[in-house]
Amino acid sequence: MPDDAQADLVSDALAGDEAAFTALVGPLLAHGYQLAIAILRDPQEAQDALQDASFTAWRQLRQLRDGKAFRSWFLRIVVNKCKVVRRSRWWSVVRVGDTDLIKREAKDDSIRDLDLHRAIRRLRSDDRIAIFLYFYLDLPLDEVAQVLGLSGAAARSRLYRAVRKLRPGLQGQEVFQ
Amino acid sequence: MIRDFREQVRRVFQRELDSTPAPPDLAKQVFRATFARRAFGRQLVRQFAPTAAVLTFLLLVGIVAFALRTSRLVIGSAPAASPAAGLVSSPTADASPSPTASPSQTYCRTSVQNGCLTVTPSSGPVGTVVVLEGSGCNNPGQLAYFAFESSHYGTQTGTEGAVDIPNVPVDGAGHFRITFSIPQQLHALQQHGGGRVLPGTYSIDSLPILCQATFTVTSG
Repeated sequence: MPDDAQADLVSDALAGDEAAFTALVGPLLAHGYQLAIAILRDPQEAQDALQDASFTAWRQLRQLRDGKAFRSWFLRIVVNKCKVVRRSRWWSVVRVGDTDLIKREAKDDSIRDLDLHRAIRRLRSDDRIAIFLYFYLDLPLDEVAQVLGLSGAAARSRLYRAVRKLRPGLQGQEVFQ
Repeated sequence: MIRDFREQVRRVFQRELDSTPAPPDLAKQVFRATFARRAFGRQLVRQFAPTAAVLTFLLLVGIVAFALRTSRLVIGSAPAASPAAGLVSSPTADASPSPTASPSQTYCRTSVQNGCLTVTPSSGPVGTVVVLEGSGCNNPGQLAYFAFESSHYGTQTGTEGAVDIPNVPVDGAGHFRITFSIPQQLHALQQHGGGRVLPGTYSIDSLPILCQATFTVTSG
């Protein structure tokens, strides 16, 4: 979506136009849901977090300083909502992967993928989010930094550390080329 | 190498996402929830705003009423000038009035605070034992304090001066009953008067002046 069109939609939504808000958030819902799944690994919780994020975005739209940075702003809300859900799970047991899925993976994919899958699951949540945003959603580094609420340098450093945990042989230049 | 790694990471995430696909009506559900919650919030405000306004108004009225009542009590119980030290009568508990008793007199004050003082008898010679009985003549939580003094009403008769009747015990409802012997001497007020009690009309006032009554001394 062109930046100007997005800024117009933001100002319309600010005026209370529900259709403008729908047009603004609608294209981001798929990414928001995928991000929530990557963090929470539970479809129901991911959906709840996304609904919360949407409501918060609607309520706090006035706090959006730059109408053009709506995507990173919205994804940041999603990340924060997911963190709230994760924190509220103090009573729950650690979620383990679906054994059927692992069996299927073993049958369909190479052992290398399976190892990477396990390594990603072992990453800290913040590192996994960074990897997901950068490598799966293909967000540019500055946008990853905005979603994570970090400076560009801190986001770069976090991403590099996370990549090194997954693939120790990779160099910084390769990761960010 | 990085391209390979990127593809591999994508595959891993994609596989995880494939196992938990987004519901087909995700957008519909999300927006319905968003706008419904917003509408609910507004409805809540609309429903409860009048009630909240009424409750706030009643609370304010209550506070103002309480403040007014308190300020009235403070004005009503403003401390009167303390009588000069001098002759002080010692009240004794509940003795019978003199046999030459005249009818009692009751004075009730209702304008600011309900205070009643009954003097029995209302006249007699010096040395007459009178019963002072009543209620509401003291500051809340304090003992009552009376003075037998030259009358403030009309033309002054008798001797100018006063005798204090301090520390009169009251019950929880502010009620008291004491006996008091009409003194032979009064002490001077502001260096005026004092001396032997002459026949005339005298006041029995509470301090603060919440209750007032008169007593007529018939002979010295």
